[in-house]
Amino acid sequence: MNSSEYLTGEKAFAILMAMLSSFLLYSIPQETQWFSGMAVSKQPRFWPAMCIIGLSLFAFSYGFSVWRKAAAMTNNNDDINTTELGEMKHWLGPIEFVGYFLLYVVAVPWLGYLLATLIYFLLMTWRMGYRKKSMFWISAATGLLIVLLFKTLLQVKITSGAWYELLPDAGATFMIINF
Amino acid sequence: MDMLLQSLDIFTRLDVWLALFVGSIGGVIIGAIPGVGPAVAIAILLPATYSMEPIVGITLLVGIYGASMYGGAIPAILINTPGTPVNALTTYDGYSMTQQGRARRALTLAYWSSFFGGIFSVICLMMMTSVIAQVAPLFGSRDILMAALLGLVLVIVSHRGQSLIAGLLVFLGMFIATIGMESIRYTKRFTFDQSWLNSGMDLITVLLGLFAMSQAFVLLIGNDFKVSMPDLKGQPKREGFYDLMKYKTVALISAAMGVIMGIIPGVGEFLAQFFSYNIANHISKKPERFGKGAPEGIIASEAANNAVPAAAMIPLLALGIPGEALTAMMLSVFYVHSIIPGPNLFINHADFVYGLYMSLFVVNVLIMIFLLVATRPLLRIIQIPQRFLGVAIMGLSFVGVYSLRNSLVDCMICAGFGVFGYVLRRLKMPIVPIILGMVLGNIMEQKFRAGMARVNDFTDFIDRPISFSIFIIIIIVLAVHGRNLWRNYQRNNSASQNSH
Repeated sequence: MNSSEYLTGEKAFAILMAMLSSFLLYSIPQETQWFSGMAVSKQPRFWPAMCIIGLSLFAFSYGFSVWRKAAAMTNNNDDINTTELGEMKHWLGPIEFVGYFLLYVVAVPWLGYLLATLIYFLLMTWRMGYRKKSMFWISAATGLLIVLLFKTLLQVKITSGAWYELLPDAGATFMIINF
Repeated sequence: MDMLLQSLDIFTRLDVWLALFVGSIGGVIIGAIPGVGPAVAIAILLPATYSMEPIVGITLLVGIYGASMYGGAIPAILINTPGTPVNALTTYDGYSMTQQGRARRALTLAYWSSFFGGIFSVICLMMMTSVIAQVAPLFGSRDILMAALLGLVLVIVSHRGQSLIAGLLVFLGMFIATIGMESIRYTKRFTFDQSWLNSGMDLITVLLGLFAMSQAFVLLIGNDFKVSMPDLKGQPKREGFYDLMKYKTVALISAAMGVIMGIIPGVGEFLAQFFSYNIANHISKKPERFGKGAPEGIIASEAANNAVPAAAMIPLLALGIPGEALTAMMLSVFYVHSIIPGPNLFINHADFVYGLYMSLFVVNVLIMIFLLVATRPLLRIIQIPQRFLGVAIMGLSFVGVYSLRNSLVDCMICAGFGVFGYVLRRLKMPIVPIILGMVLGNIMEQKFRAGMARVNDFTDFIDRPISFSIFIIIIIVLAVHGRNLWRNYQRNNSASQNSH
């Protein structure tokens, strides 16, 4: 990122934060309760309101400082050729990977942790552009290692796969406990 | 002393040794891989430690915390890329030494300096225990409230040049912590009639999103880079130790600086190494060598860094106030096991405290042994392709967040914070203030409400000697920060006038 892109990013962030803090300030009466006769400091509204006021003060001060910086940069005739919306498009870059992540989350209760993890690792390795066979072996081994470490060894609570129920009793129990 | 000897009992347990080994070796490996870092690793492992005994879980996490900084020095020295952000200063002199063909010497010097800093800090912690145990119970709700406020103020002012954004993120974190049902009147706050918000935002979910997922996104969107490793074959292995002996004053000052900065909430490794590096530069007979391969530079940076983790445990254990993101994460392990850090911890769970000290000591020894024998195999790990690392971190984040409640909503929240963290990373903004805002904000609200029972007006918050002293420190910190900002403003103004 060059300095003008960075400044554009800062401007976009400042705008978003100013909008967020304004929205939260506006929402205080609807989203918190006020009990008559109770001391102000004991009100459920008191603490969130303090936080939002602090957030707003900093958000607007930050916005002002970015605005001053932008004005100085324009005066210096620096080349500002990116827009706030253009920068925000970059911020949405991870959305594709969020999609893959959520697909993985949805797949686990159906396929089981082991199978879903192996598929996740292999497909993601392919998506990342790796084509060497060795990379796929490493990828599958990493997935297996993670399952063995967390589910089999540390017994972290992860839903078992729906298809495990189709297995004979002993096999189903084994799969539910370990994978 | 009796308690210290009693605490040795924990070393008869296999699970403690396993945690020590996994923590120390795993931490070195995690630290050595640029792009992972202890925050990501601890966030991922946190839910898994909930099922462990507190001493085992905390030992594992503390091991990773301390060991990662040892490991982070390896890529900093060999390929000019710090393994963890706090090893950045090590690149100045470490990489210069590598370019001069003295890579092994730089590495062993970094190891021994880290070891010295780590052990020095643990010894300080042990020596201070009796004082801490006497002073900590003197802290009441109002004093802890002020100490937490001091922590927040320090977090904001220590982000030089980014104070406004740090302040914004601190308050955002504090606000996030208020979402959901409050515990006094059981009213909903900022739930927007969404039932999934009733229980609030889970700290671990937010942590995993901000640290692990965002880092995964950065790696997945970026490119793999090829690194060429210098050959360490045939280079002498003991020179680093002799260098440390030669510059023991620098080592001592740096480790002491690490301890002091570690104790102060909200400050941490960056300022510790910055101050020690500057002091080492000032007292050096050859200051012109700094940045060009000065052994004192590596000692200052590494000894200071590694003195911080043990010292950072002091405010956490004594007052229940985490000084930075990693101890904030550890706080949740204490709460899960109903061990409440704070003034009474030294009375009710003294065995736990001493056991932790001894574990910290052993962790440092294990790391040192591991590094002296395993540096060369570690070099292969540094070369893991970055994008594949992103795939692995995202896969591991799933374990961390899904194992909490097996909830798709948690995963969506985590992914949302991941995108937000990605934006912060892209704009080079700090992430830690959000987490400290969440944790300290929660503590402050509780202590504020508890303190209100004995308060008629707001001046009563500072009518106790401790709270008043902390209040004065806050005023001084803010005054100094204000003065610095004013000076910078005047300097910039005069510079821009001169340029016209």
